[in-house]
Amino acid sequence: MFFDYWPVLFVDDEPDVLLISKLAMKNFEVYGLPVKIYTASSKAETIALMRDNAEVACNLAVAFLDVVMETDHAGLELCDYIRKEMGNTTTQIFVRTGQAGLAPEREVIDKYDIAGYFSKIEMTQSKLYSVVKSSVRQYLAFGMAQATIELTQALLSAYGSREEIMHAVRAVAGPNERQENAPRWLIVDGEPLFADEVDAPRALTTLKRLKEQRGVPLGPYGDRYVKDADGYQSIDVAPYGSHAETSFVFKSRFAPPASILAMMHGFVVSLAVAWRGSGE
Amino acid sequence: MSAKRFDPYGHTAPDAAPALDKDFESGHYSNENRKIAASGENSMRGTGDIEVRILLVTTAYNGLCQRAHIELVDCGHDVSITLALNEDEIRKAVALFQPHLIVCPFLKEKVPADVYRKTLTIILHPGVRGDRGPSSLDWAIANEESEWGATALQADEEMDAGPIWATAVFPMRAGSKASLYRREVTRAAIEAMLATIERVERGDFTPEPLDYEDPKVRGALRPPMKQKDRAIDWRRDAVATILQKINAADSAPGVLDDIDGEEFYLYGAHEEGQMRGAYPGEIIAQRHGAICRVAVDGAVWISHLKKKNVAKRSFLDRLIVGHSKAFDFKLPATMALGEKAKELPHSPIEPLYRGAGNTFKEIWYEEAAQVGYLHFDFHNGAMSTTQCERLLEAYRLAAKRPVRVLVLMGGTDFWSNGIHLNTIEAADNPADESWRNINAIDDVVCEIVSTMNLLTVAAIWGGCGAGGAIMPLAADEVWAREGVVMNPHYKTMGLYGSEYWTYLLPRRIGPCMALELTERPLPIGMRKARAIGMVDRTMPDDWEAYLAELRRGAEALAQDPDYDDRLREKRESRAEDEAIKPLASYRAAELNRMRVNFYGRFYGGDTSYHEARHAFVHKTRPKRTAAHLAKHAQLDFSHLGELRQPLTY
Repeated sequence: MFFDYWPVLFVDDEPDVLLISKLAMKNFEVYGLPVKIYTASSKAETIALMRDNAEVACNLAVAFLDVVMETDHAGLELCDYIRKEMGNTTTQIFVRTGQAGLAPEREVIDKYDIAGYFSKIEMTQSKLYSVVKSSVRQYLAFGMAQATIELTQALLSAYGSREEIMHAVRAVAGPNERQENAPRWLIVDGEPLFADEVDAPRALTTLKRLKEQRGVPLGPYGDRYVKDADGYQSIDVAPYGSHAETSFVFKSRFAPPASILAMMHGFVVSLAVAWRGSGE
Repeated sequence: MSAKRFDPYGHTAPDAAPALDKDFESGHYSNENRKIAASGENSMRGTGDIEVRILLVTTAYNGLCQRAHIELVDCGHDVSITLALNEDEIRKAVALFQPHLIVCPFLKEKVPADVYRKTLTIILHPGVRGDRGPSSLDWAIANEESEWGATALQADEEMDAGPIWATAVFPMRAGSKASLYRREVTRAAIEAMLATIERVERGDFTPEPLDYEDPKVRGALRPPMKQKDRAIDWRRDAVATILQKINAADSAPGVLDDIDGEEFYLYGAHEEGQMRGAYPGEIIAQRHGAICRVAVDGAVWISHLKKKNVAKRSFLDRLIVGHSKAFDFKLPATMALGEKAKELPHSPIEPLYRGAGNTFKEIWYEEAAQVGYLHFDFHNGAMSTTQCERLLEAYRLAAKRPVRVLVLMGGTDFWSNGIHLNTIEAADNPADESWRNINAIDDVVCEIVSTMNLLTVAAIWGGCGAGGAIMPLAADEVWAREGVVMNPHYKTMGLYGSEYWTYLLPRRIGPCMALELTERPLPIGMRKARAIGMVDRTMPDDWEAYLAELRRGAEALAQDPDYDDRLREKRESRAEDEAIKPLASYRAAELNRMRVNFYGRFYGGDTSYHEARHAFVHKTRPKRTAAHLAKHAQLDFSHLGELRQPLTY
């Protein structure tokens, strides 16, 4: 959601395949963001890369793994490593093979937790385009759903203490290195939760400006989503019932599709309810 | 001593015990000079039948303060803690907690006069009777004192000059100031503190005014030790002098010295037994981050450096702009020197070093009577990625030796304190380095858990914290010195934690206790650790006695007639656990949570860990005392019901 790009990994022991894959990904965007390509030429090199680079280990959107590398099943073992050893269930993994006989499609799809299986001949540039695009969407949807559940769970656990609530939502709008250019604010009952004396007026001015614009209703009670031409966006929960007036204001090139927006709205509602219910 | 009744000045205690039962300096307190102590101005008089409340006022919640906290709670006292952030903070804590007694285990500030006049305030001073000033241990090392001590004295107008309640002494040992403080001073200070409380409670003891005419008073008022007192003259100073000077300033402030035109503070001195060089002061080698410098009569290894005059930067500045490669905190020497160290020749030693000569070594191994002893003595117990990798290699080699028991000795000051926050902070990408470091330490833990060919014992002499307090649980047996303080939690660093803690901790102490230990970030002492099953055996506080008992215990384990059965049971139990949930799944689930700590995910990034690490490394003082320590600031939920009672008119 707040990434600058989508990290994509290609693992293949044929340098030409890696080169062509990289070329095919040039000028490629999903939801307005480019992809960042990582490459490795073996299972061992990939594991070393994952041990060395937290982004590849933690935030990989899509991975294409060749099957036959240092061994006949190195790519499949790598798939197991990512899923089981790394516990990574979010990355969309595709298996590409030049020797389908060594790893028949049905056997592989039955045995390994992968999103797809292709022979190298099948993987044309346009196929790559559609596979990467659709799998980034899938990755985002699954990741956002997981993250929303985790946040909601944290809010439920924090219910009763505003200090604990602040702790629970720190990852969303706490201090971060991108606040200057791509700010994120959570504003509850007119108060930005983490902003300092410089950042707070900026948050309130932005919210005021967005409130003056027409937004998309999110339900019948005044909740809404608004986005301006500069990429500033706000998900607003209106003050009613057990809800505190709450806004999640952020700037991003990414305009969330309806399904992602619904999840984000769910999080803001959870915060609005937890905050109101936790009193002073 | 009664834990629940307190009569601090004892004017109602005619039956008080007639003799001291503590082995303090002989002859310091005679029955004749015990009198009713209190003067009428103290408000603590007549508190006879109430629960004892003790407030700890401290500059930082350091090892000694943690130990004092544990000991007092174990004695049944009601203890709260306040950091001496300013005078009003202390006054506020006193007003809210209404303590019967204030104890200051580690205090650089002065207690306000209105506080110590109203409430008996005991300062634990790291010096012998009569010693005064802020550089006690520094001077004790520099002056080659053969015996030193810790004294409990009453706060007074003049710093460290109040009446003396108790003193405990110890023979001095060659070691750094920090090491002496963590071991001998802590032990003596706790002894003096407990004796003081006993005496206060008994009520028949008169603290002795400081009298320099008294022959028992050996100490003196010492000025703060300055860098000019510490300076090393490489052209004249012998190895022994250099070691002594660096030891007297370690871990703070370090000895200021010039290296290639730049000023650095030096830490972590070790004698080199073989290498020699032509020019005193010259750096002739590097090993595992340390540098070797030539002295007139030999050479000295220096493990850590801190650059002088580096401007401090705020966390947000560091976060947004990135670091400037000039670090204002302690780092392995070659890392602090940067490019300057690149060309230095390496002086390698074997991964499983077994030599007996003097040199710089972090990992070494001994073997006797079918028992292997693997030592890993990392500075301050912090284990960087490369240190973990070396430890893993050494462990694998040790586990292949023809022994039946492998004892994991840790270091003498710390067993382990988990990942190395300073090297992470200095890395180009701290998130990546955190990731590498946690994986490297996980590999070590995994290897220990998976060792099936022999029995393993974690022998804990020094303290341990965070992942370093979980790591011993990977061994089959955990034996610890009585005075060890463990901090088996990650929360204060904003981390979920790994090191397979979600497997190891509940397996040993059950899920409820695991929740308590990890959610309430408080240290635990060995009485509790033993009671809940976190350690299997406690051992003496004295080093020689500890070592003797450890060796006896390990050899007995190796010769145990049931040894083969134990090994078989271990294999079966591990296989059973693996079948239910593989070790890899525990690790994966922990690391999934750690990813969010290190690296942002879908809703953004959590900077708690990065901020906490920055504060820790830069020794930023907190703005307030943490809620879990400041009991006086906590709501007492057990009494909330009283608020709901109907009002009566």
